[in-house]
Amino acid sequence: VSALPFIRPESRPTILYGRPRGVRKHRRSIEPGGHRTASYRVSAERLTGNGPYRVVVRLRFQAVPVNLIAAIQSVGFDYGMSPRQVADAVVANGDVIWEREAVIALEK
Amino acid sequence: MERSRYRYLALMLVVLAALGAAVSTGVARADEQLDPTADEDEKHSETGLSGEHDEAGHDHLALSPDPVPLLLDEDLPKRSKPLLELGAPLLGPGKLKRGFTLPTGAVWTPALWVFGTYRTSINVVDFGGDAEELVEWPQRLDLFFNLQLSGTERLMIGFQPLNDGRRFTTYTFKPDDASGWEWEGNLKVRTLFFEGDFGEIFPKLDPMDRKGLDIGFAVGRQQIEFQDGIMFNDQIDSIGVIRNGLSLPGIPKIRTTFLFGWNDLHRGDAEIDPNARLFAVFGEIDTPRSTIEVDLAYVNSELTALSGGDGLYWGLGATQRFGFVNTTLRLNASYALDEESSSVRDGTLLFLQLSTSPRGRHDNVYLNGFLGIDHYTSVSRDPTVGGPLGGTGLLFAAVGLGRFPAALGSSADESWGLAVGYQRFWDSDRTQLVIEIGGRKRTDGGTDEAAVGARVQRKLGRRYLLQLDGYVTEMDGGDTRVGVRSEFRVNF
Repeated sequence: VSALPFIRPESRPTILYGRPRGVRKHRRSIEPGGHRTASYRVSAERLTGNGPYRVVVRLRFQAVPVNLIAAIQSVGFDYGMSPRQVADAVVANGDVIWEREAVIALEK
Repeated sequence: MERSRYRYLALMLVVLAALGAAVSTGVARADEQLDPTADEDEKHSETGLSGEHDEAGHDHLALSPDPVPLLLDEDLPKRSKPLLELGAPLLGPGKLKRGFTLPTGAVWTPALWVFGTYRTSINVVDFGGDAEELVEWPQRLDLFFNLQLSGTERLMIGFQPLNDGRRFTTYTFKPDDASGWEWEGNLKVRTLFFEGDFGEIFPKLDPMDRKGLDIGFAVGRQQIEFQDGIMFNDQIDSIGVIRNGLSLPGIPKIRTTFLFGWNDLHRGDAEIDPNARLFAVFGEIDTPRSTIEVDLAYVNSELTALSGGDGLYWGLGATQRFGFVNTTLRLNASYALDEESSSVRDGTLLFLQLSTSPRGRHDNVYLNGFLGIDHYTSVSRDPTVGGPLGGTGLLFAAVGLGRFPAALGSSADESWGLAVGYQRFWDSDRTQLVIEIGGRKRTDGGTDEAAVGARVQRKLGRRYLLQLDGYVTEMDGGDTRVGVRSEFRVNF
């Protein structure tokens, strides 16, 4: 890390590497036609009985992650908004693009 | 005699530091006079993009409930213009130019930007024993002309008019028999390449972007660097073709680059091999956990009495994080398909990098190590970049200016070693200090070495950097090598 960050076009051909020097953008998205399976665990202390339990799974879309708003808040926002207001609006205006409900019976 | 030598060097360090402080004060004031907003960088960087707490103890990653007015153009730090810009300003605001349309359908909006870096330093080295000291004042200028045509197409030309490879325009104070000026001025073209994307140059062939014609290419004299400079770090005449954005089940990104090089190849000994022809394929894969690099290269060359010969090389790399610890593991190997020569030898290099930032700060703590088996040689290495171990740390890295040697050298032959360091930032990152301890243990019975070193960098205004380096190396057998340097850098 240099004490003098200075942005200029790279002196090497960027296109051969697919990314700038010294930067790694780790792509963890789902490839076209691909899928991922997520695992969730709920500790026994948080259960309220023997069930059955209704599980609602939602796939949400949100314009930006909230921590990005925190990172850029120093440059300010339009319309006199505070960073907190912008973050709340981003979360509130996210869309649920897929939802599924299921009932789970616990094995004794 | 030895004690007086250390006093001399310590005095030099104090003088250099005092000179540096005086220069930094004067230059910073001059820079502020030229640009009253020079401290704007500092003001805005203090608003906490790093997650640190300010002097009032506020956490800058917390979302403020108070309105924050949008900064206008006049409130933002002034951009640092290049030496020359024609057409669209580099990183500057304004209206987009109309440009012109090629017969292929591509729209180009040419802009020429001229930029570069000037470096000068005073290097002082006491090699220990009876060897004469080195005191020199080298110069280096990297000058680039970038003709940007579109977001993906550009032509780049570069010169290094004050150095010819590892020979720099230098005034030598010591040794006495070499004192005086050495002039290495030249107008050799160091960089000349065109890069672009086939699909962007010929958009009429696929107006709906469905045929997968986004094939990138770069042709000319260009810097090639793979495996973080271990396997390949040189400027060669070559043509490369890349296919990016491929995917497989469970793997969202695959990048594959094919490269053919025909000229200006510096082999593992950093000497040009005029007979060498390079064939290589480089791949990078993003798995959910890691970024994996898989690289393979073959050099065809005529074997002479002292150099040359065919070589086969491969490299593997994996970069990932475990919690808050960044890790990179690399394994590289070279094989001399003919007899071994100075150009290529058999060998293997294992390399590990660990780093993290202390909680609440963006300082950097690192631990890097290597194991060199036999005599690993890179595919191609520029004379100014040193050996393949430069990424181990400051003590192993070449400075790329003059004849100042690394504290522990950057050759990977038959040895293992490590470096531990801490990088600390102050004053809104305008000042940084790196302290590093390292060592190398030879496995062939050669001389072991241990060293401690430090580097201080101070940003002056927006374009200037003052850097002080120093190290002390203890060699097996009692000899001590001491190096001190002070560098001034101008970016434009």
